[in-house]
Amino acid sequence: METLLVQQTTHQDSSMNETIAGTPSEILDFIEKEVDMGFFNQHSFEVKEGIVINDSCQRISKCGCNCNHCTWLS
Amino acid sequence: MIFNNEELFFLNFEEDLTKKIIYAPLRSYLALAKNEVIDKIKSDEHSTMKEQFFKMLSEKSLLDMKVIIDNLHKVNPEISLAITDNCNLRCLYCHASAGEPHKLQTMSYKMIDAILNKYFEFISDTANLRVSFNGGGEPTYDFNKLVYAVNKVKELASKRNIKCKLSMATNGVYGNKVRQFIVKEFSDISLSFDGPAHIQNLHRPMANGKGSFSKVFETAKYFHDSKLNFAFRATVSEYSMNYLEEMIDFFAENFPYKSIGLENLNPFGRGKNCSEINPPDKIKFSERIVDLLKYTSDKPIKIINSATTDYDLIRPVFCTNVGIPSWTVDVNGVIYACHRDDAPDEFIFGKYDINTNSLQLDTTKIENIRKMVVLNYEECKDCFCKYHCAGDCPDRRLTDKLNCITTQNIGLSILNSKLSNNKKLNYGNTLSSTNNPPRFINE
Repeated sequence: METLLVQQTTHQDSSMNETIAGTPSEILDFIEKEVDMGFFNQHSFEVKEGIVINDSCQRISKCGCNCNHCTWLS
Repeated sequence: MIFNNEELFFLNFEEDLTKKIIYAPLRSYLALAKNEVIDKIKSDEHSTMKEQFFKMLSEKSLLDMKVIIDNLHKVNPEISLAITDNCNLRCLYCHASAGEPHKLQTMSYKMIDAILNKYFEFISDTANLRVSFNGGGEPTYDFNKLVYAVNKVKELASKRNIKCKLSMATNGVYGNKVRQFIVKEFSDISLSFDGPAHIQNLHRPMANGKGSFSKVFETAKYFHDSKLNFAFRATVSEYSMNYLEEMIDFFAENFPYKSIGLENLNPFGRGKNCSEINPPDKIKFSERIVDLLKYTSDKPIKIINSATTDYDLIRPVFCTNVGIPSWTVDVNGVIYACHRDDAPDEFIFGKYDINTNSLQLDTTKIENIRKMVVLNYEECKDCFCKYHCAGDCPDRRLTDKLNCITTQNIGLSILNSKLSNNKKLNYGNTLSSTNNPPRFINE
């Protein structure tokens, strides 16, 4: 996953704009709020030590597929 | 939608319609701006504002969905054994029609041995592996076979120096002997439990027609007291949708700090011809889920739903079953890329032939299954949820039972909530415990 870089987050004070959860750059003055969704720190289907982690479909209590049955969690 | 080579979605900000949400999922970026700003960003005409915006965006890292997909293709498939088609319950909506005259088979010891041997020969060296018991009926129904299979997995994994995590979806209708075994051997359990007695006993009666509530409640208490890593999964019908707050209070009171997955009933298997209960209306269901996310904000419970949970993650493919694809092996050795019983032919990509002791995998079918990613779904191209639902369950796509309305309604509420000054929605977090500190005692 070399291409999936972890973003550094910084907080910024501004009376006009609000940065939520940190953004990597200064907020533009015409943007009122920004949120870093955190997808670079955690993304689905990351492969770690041979197994897939964050496989949001299963094991995490949220499959929602057709089977009316399974709900995995990790 | 593509603007200046950037994939952007503009959504209504429900608190103030003079503003809009800007969402660039591949840049992990969510923002709020006035409508006139949005107009300039979308405009074909040059402006300083537009230039500054796209420069800012382009300086952010970009998630490459193709890298995620390629990595999935390199990883070992996971295996799930459908130990038995039989079941001690007769859930009205059972996708597998488990326990009916044509669904009584159990996997033979010979088949368990053979398929696990073949699987461990097939996989490449790895430090870890996950094995599940899912598909067909209730895995604990033939307890001796389950114990045998678990021991076989442990034996084969040990020879390869592989650490195994076992998981299972189970109905909870058994005594302490089975409960002790599960707590000792399994890492992750999904316990199917539809809520208070009047719902559970209606939805999930025993084979003899009696209610299953008291047994499942005892099992849930046992798991909870044992600090087993488990979560609840409740199927919501038109009937139980009227009692969602009661359900939540029931789980929060009796099993605090657990997660509960709420999904609408899908009419498959026995559910196709069920006269006692019906699927809920999808629009009403999505509205009720949003209500519940607010209702639970100060309660010790997390609501999980396929449309809500993935707002901490993005994904190009719905599940590892199709993404890798993984092996779900039925009692006869047929290999599916789907846990649903009687899944259509598109998901069948292999078979273990016990007579010739040979494993056949269809590479063309595997290639076709691997095409089931959101990047290939034309109708998802302009949808802001595309990297969250990943085009929804591929099986559901084939059967034309997509859940887009629910997904979009709930998704819009969650993105609004992230930018709102009001109380945040209490939606579940999907992050795996493999590399994250626990947020709840069961995660």
